[in-house]
Amino acid sequence: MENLLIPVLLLPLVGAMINGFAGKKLGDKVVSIVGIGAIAIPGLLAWLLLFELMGMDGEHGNHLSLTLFEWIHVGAFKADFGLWLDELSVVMLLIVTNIGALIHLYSVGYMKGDPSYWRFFAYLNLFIFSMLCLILGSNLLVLFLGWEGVGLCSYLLIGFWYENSDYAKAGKKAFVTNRVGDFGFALGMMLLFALFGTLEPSEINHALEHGLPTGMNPKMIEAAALLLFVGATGKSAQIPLFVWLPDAMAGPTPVSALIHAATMVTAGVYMIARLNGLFFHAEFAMHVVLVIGAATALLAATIGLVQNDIKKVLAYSTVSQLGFMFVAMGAGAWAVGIFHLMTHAFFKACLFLGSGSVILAMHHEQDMRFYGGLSKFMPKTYWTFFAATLAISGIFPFAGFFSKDEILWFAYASDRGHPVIYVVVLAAAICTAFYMFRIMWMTFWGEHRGVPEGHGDHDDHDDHSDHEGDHDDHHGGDPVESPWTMTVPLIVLGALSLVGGFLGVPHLLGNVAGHFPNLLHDWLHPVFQYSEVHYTHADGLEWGLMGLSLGLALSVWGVTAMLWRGKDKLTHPLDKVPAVHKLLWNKWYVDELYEVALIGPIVKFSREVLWKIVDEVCIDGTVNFVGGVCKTVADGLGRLQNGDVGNYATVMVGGMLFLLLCLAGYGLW
Amino acid sequence: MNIDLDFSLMIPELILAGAAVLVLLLDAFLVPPGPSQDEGDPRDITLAVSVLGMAIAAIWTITVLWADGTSRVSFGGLFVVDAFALFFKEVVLIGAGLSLLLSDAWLRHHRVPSAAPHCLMLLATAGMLYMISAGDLVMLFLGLEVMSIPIYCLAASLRWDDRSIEAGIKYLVLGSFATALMLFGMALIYAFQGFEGGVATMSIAAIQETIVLHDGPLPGYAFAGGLLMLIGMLFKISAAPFHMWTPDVYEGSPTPVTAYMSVAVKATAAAVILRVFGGPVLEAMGLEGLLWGVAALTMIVGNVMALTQDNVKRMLAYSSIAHGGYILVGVLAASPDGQAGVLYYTLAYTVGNIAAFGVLVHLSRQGHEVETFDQLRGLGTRFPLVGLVMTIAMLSLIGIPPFAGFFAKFAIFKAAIGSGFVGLTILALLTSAISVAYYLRPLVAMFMTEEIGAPAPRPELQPRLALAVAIAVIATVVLGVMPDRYLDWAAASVIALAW
Amino acid sequence: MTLQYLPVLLVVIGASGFMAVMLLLNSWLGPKPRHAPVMDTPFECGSPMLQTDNRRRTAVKYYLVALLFVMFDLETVLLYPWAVMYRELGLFGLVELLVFLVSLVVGLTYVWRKGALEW
Repeated sequence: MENLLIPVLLLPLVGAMINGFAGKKLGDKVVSIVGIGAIAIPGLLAWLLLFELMGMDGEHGNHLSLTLFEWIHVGAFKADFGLWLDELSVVMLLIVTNIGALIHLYSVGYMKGDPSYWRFFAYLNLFIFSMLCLILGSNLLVLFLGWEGVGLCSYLLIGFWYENSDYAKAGKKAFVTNRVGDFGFALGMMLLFALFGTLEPSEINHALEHGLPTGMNPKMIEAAALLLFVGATGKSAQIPLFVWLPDAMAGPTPVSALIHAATMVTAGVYMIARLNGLFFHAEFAMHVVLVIGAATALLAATIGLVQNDIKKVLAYSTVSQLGFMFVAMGAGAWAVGIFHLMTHAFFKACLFLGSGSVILAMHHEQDMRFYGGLSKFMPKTYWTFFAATLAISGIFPFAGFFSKDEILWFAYASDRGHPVIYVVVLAAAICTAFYMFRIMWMTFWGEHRGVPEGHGDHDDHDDHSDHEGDHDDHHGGDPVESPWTMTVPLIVLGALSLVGGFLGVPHLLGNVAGHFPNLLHDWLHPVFQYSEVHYTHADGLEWGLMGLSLGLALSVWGVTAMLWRGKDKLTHPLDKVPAVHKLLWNKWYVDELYEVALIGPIVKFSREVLWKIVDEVCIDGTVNFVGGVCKTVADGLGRLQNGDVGNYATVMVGGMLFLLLCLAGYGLW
Repeated sequence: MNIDLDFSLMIPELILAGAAVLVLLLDAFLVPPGPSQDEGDPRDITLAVSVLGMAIAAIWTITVLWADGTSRVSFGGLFVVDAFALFFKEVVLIGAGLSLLLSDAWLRHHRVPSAAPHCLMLLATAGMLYMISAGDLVMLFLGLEVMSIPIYCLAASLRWDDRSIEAGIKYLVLGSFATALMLFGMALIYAFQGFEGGVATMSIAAIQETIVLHDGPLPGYAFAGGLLMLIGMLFKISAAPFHMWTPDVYEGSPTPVTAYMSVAVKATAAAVILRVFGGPVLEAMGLEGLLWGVAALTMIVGNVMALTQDNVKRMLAYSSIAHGGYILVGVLAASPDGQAGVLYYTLAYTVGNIAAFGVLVHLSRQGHEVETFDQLRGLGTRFPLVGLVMTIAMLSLIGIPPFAGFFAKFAIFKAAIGSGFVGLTILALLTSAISVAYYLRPLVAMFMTEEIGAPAPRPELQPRLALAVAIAVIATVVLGVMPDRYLDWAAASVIALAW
Repeated sequence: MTLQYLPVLLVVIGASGFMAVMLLLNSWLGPKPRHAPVMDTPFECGSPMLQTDNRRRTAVKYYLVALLFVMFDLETVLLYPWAVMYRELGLFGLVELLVFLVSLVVGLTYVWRKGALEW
C-alpha cells in the first residue's frame, strides 16, 4: 500500500515535465488535461491512503513509510530519500492534493488565452511536487528540499508575468525574504542533527517522548526550535518576515489561492506540528511563537482594515490568519492549529478564487471602490464568497467559527497561553470580521459603481494586456459570471467553508449534541499524544467566551451595515482619524523601516566595502596577482617547450640526473 | 619443463590480438589502395570487428574473469590476473573502445584510406592489458613495447600532415629513450635481485619481497635501477620533468589518438606504477621523497602551463599532465584508500576526457580543424547540446560536484591527508583552483562570445561518435551522483595489492 | 665483493687517462696547421673522393623493403633455436612457431595487398 506514495509524489513531477518540456507544442487542451490529471489522480489516491491508515490499528498511531533510495551516506550522516505518511501528513496531503486539484481546474478558466498557459501549469505541477516532498518527507532534509522547492515555485509564479518589472521585483522580494528564513531553518536542522544524530522527525519526537534525554542541554533544544521558527516566519509570513506575502499578490490569482493562502504558507505551521516533540520541550521558543503569532495576527488585521485592493486585503488577512495558527501552536494546541490550517485552506482558497472571479469580471480591476452590487451579476461567486466570509468571520456554524474559537479558547486556557494573548487575538478576530464585511459591502452589496472611463486597463494593477483573452468582448458592459471551470471549484470550496468545521467540533459543543466526537482531534491524537499541554477546564467560561466572540462578530456585521448600507459614498470610519488611517494605509511603515534600517545600510556596505574594497582590492587583487605569477612562471617554462626534440631529451636527462643526484644525496646522508 | 599455461586467463588479450589480425586481413582485401570512397565503405566492417573485439574483451573481463574473483598466476608467473588488473583492464578497454568510436568519425572526416588505425589501437590495447597483467619484468617490458610502437604509428597516422609526422617522430625518439632507461633500470634491479635475493628472477613479487626485506639502505645501483624504472613509467604518465613530449605529441596527433593516449596510456602507467611500486615498496626503495617532488612539480607545471595555451588540445595535454600529478599523489598515499582513489580517478578522468575530445572530433572537418579557443567561439550557444557536453566534461575535470571528477579528487586528497601528505594535498588543492581558470576558458568561448566571421557549417552528427560521447557523459554523471558503488569496486580491487 | 673489480676500474681509468694525456700533449706541442677544406676530407691523400655529398637520396621504397627484410631475417633467427630444440619442445613448440609464422604471413599479405612490394 505504501507503494501508492510513489505515484502520489511523482505524478505531479511527471506532469510538470510533460508540460514544461512539451507543453508549448501540446496545445492548451492537452496541457490542461495533463496538469489537472497530474494532481487529481494523486488527490484520489490520497483518499485511498487515508482509508488504509484508518484501517490500521497500531497502538501508538499508524504510519506508512517507504524509502525511495539512499540519498546521502557520509560518515555518521545518513539521509535517505524516504516518505512518511501518518495521521498528520495525510491531512495535509488531502488538503494539498484536493484543493490543489480544484484550483488547477479553476486555473483552466482563469488563465484561458494566456500565451504562457503551459508554463503556468508546469510551474503549478512542480509546486505540488515540491509541496508533497515537504509534507511526505521522512526526514528534514527531504522536507527542506520541498521547502526550497515551493519557495522556488512561488518565486516563479509570483513573477509569472515577468514582463512587468514590478511583478518580477515582488517575486525577488519573496525569494530573498525567504532566504533569510531558510538560513535559520538550515542552521536549526544542523543543530538538530548534532543533538539527535538524525534528521527524522519521527525519531526526534520518539527520543523526546518521555522528557529530555539525559545529558541534553535544554538551551540547545530551545535554540534549535527558535532557529527552525525563524524559517517558519519566513515561509509562513510572520513578523518580521511577513513583508513579502502582500507583494506576492502580483502573481495570478489561482497562485495566490493555492500557494499564498492554502498550502505553502502553512508549511511553517506544519513543520512545527511535525516537530511537536521538540517544540513541546522548548518552552521559551513556544512563548516566542505565541507572541509573534498574536502580534502578527493583530498587526496584519489592522492593515487589512483600510486597504482598497481586494487581493491586498485578502493577503493581509492571510498573514493574520497564519498568526492565529501560530498562536495555536504556541499554546500547544497542535490539533487546533492544524484544524484552523484546514478550514482556512477551505475558506481562504474560496475567497481568493472568488476575488479572482470578480477581478476577471471587472477586467482586471482590483480596486474595490469601482465594484459594488456584483451580487446581481455573478450570483455563484457572490454566494460562495459570502459563505467564506461568514466562515472567516467566525459566524456559527461556518467552518471558521469552530477552529478560530478553539484557538481563542486555548490562547486563554492553555498553560502556555495568557489572557493578554487572548485579548490581542480577539481584537484581531474583530478586525477580521470588519474588513471581510467591508469587502462584502464594497464588492457585492449596494449599487454597481463601475470603472470610470480612462481607468481600468491602464491602471497599474494590471497592465498585462496579453492576459485579457476572450474576456475582451465584455469590456464596457456589465460584469458577467465566470465559466463553469471557475464556479465549480468555488461551489465546492464554499460548501466546505460551510460544513468543514464539523470535522473538529469542540468537545463542549459535541457534548451538547449528544457526544458528537471531535473527529480531527481524535484522528491526530496519536501524533501529538506525547506533547499534550495541560489546559484549564472551565465549561462556563468557555461558553461565555464563545458567546462573546460570536456576539462581537455579529455586531461587527451590524456596524458595517450601519456604515455602508444604502450609502452612495464609501467613507471609512477611520477617515476621521487621519493619523491612524495613514499609519495603517502605509502598513505601519514596516517596508520603509526595513528600507532605512536594513536594506539601505546593507546596500551601502555592499557598495562601499564589499564591492570597492573587498571585491576590487582584495579579491580581484589576489586573483590578478596569482594570475600574474602563474603567467610569469608559464612564460618561463614555455621557453623550454620550444618544439626541439633535443631540448626535450636534455630536460629529461637533466631531470633524471637531478633525481639520481638526490638519491646519491640520500645515500651519503 | 612443466609450465602451467592457462590460456583462459588471457582470453581478452587473445581476442584483441585476433581482432587485430582479422582487421589487417580485411583491410588488405577489402579496402583498395587509393583514396577512400564514400559508398559501401568497408571500414564499417573493420570498425565493427574492432569494436566487437573490444566489447567482448571488456564483457569477458567484467563477467567471467571478475566473477571468478580469486587472484590467479599463470605462465610461470609471467601473467597475473587479479581484481586490480581486471579493474584497470576494464578502464583501459572503456577508454580504448570509446576512442575507437571517436576515431571512426574522425577517419571519415579526414578520408583516411585505410583501417590501419583500428588495427593499431587493438594491438596497443592488447599491449596495455599485458602490461597490466605483468607479473614479471620481462612481461612488463614486452607489453610496453607492444603498446608503444603502435602508438608511435598512430600518432603519425595522418601521413600528409607535418604536425602528425612530427608528433610521431618526437614520441618515437623520446619514447625509445624512456624505454631504454626503463630497460636499464630493470637490468640493475635484476642484478640486485640476483645478488641479494638469492634467486635470479625477474618476478615482480620476488623482487618486491627482496627489497622490502632488505636490511638497511639499498645499494646505490638498486636505487638507481628503481629510479630508472620509475622514470620509464613517469614518462608514459607524462609527469614532469619527463612530460616535455606531451604537448607537442598531443597537439600534433589526430584528435582521437590524443584521446586514446591521454586516457589509456595514462591508466596503464598508473597500473604499472601501483603494481611495481605499490604498498611499502616505494618507501623501502627510498623513492618516496623523489616521487613527492615529481608529483608537486607535475601539478604545478601542468596547471600553470595550461593557463597560457590557445589551443584546446594543447591545453588538454597540460591538463593531462596535471592529472598525472594528482594520480601520483594517490600513489604516494600508498594506503589502500589512496590506491583505490587512483583506480577511481583513472576511471573518472577517462570518461571526462573522452567527452571533451569527443566534442573536438565532432566539430572538426578536414581542412577545418577546431582546435583553438577562438574556433570554439559562440558554438555553445549555437549547438547547446555540444555546449552541455563540454560543460559537463570541463566541470568534471575541474572536480566540481556532482560530476565524477569531484569524487575522484576527493578520494585521492582524503587518502593523501590520511597518509600524512598534508603539504602536498594543499598544493594539489591550490593547483586545482588554478585549473578552474583554464577549464572555464572553452566554456567562456563557447557561451559568452560571438563567432568570428562566417558561421561554421553545422557538423553532421555521427551516430557512433554520439554513442561514445553519450556513454562518457552518462558515466561522468553517474560516477558523480552515485559514486559509492564504484568506489567500493575500486576498494575491492586494491585488496589484490595488499601486503 | 665490489673490491675485486677495483683493478679493472684502475685499468679503465689508466687507459682512458693515457689516451687523454696523449691527445692533449699532441694538440699542445704539435704544429698548428692552417685549416684547409682538404683536411676535412676522409682521405687527405691518395684517390680523390668519388662522392662529396654523402646525403644522397635513396628511393623511399628501399626503406620499406629493408624493414621487411629485417623482419623476416628475425624470423630466421628465431627458427634456428627452435630447430635445435625441436624434439624437446614437441607439438607445443610447433604450434607456437606456427602462430608466429602465420602472423608474419598476415603482415606480408598486408604489405603485398597495399602495394608496398611494387618497386
